[in-house]
Amino acid sequence: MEYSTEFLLRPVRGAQPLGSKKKEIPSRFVQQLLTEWLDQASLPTEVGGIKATPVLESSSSEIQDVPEGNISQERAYPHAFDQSSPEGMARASIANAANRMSLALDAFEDGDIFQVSSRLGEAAVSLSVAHQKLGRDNPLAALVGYMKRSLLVADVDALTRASIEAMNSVLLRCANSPIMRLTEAARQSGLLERNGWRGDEPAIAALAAAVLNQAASEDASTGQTAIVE
Amino acid sequence: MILDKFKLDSLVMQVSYPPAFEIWDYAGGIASSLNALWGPLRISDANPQHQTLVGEDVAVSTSFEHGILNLFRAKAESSSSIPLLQQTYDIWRDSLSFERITRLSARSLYAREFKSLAEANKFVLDRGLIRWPDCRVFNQDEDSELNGLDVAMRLEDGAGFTVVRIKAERVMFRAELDRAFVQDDIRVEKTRVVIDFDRGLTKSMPSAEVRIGEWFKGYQHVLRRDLPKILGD
Repeated sequence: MEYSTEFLLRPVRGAQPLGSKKKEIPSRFVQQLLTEWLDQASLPTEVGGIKATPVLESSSSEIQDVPEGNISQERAYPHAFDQSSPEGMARASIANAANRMSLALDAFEDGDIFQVSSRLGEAAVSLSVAHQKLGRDNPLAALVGYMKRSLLVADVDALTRASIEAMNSVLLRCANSPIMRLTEAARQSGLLERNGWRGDEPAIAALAAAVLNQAASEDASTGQTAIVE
Repeated sequence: MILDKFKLDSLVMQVSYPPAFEIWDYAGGIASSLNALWGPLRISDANPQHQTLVGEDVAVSTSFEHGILNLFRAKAESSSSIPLLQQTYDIWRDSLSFERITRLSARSLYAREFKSLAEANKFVLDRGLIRWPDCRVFNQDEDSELNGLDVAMRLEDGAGFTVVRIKAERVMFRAELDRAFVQDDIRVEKTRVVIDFDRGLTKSMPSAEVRIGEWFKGYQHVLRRDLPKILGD
């Protein structure tokens, strides 16, 4: 089958039947069109359709009734849930860490401090594995690093039920919705910090500093004075 | 992996959103931002409904309800283009102020050239997706050099769709030029097999939550993971 770019020589949109009468075209216009055509010469085109517009659209049909609501992360970001990908392996390790924290909570209820300490160590190991699988530019990596360090330096005697529950909650949040922005990672680390965990993450600390600086400059620009007690 | 024998010929990303009348206010800003990101770009088409800017291996169209980014050849294959997808999306979202998107999709076309259409047809036929008749059918010449194969599979539910298509084709581009300047027509013929992968989400989503880079990672992940299950290695 044959395509023609003859229509490119006409100042009209769309395809023209082959062999139709040519019009006189200024040479500069021809050169410009030729240049465009050469740019786009290998565009995918439909056999018989003579369709060579530079803008392709999806081949799927239009969906008339768009369902409202949030799509699951598993559907939107399947790689993060598939254990054949690094992100999926990381998520599985985070889920494992959450499981260890759940066991730590049970041990805490039983007053078995040794078991609590042991479970925290296991959770830290799982997070260490997860951390290695995640890219450095992934906000989840910053949060996982924070949690790993928090678990490693935790004073078991100072732990409370609320602090273990908070860690478990954040781990589950990460396992269920591993795709997050850095602001969300910072919010989650703030939640942990308020519950006694300490694992300062440089990336999150930098973000917090940037946010504080921005707030300070906005205050200054509006003539407001921050009062620090 | 079957795709390793193919080259990514084009990549199209499409974002749909509710009617964004802000395009009347910010069309110039959108064009400037896109030019800064992908430029130099020139105007291919512009009217109150939409604008299309084109540059080397790139075309970007912004309209009331859709933003469409086309990347070709080198730009489609370059991993450095991926972060720019997010930035393109951010330009649309920030300028047009849509709070939700109604569709996010991408279409990749992988192509591999063959010496003849018969070879291309054999490659498609060897996928085992369709049976070539062993007798004359539909009163057509069974040995015609123009016979081709085109097979598609479509999967769709309320949240999204995936279309996989493989076809063998011979395409000819012909430019008839002004004889006063160029004596010979330009004719380029290609015989190739095209794998067309179109996948998207059709459920309405908050625009602020969409992570284009991560979504595209998922897109490529399922493509490479599952395509061999359909087309073989």
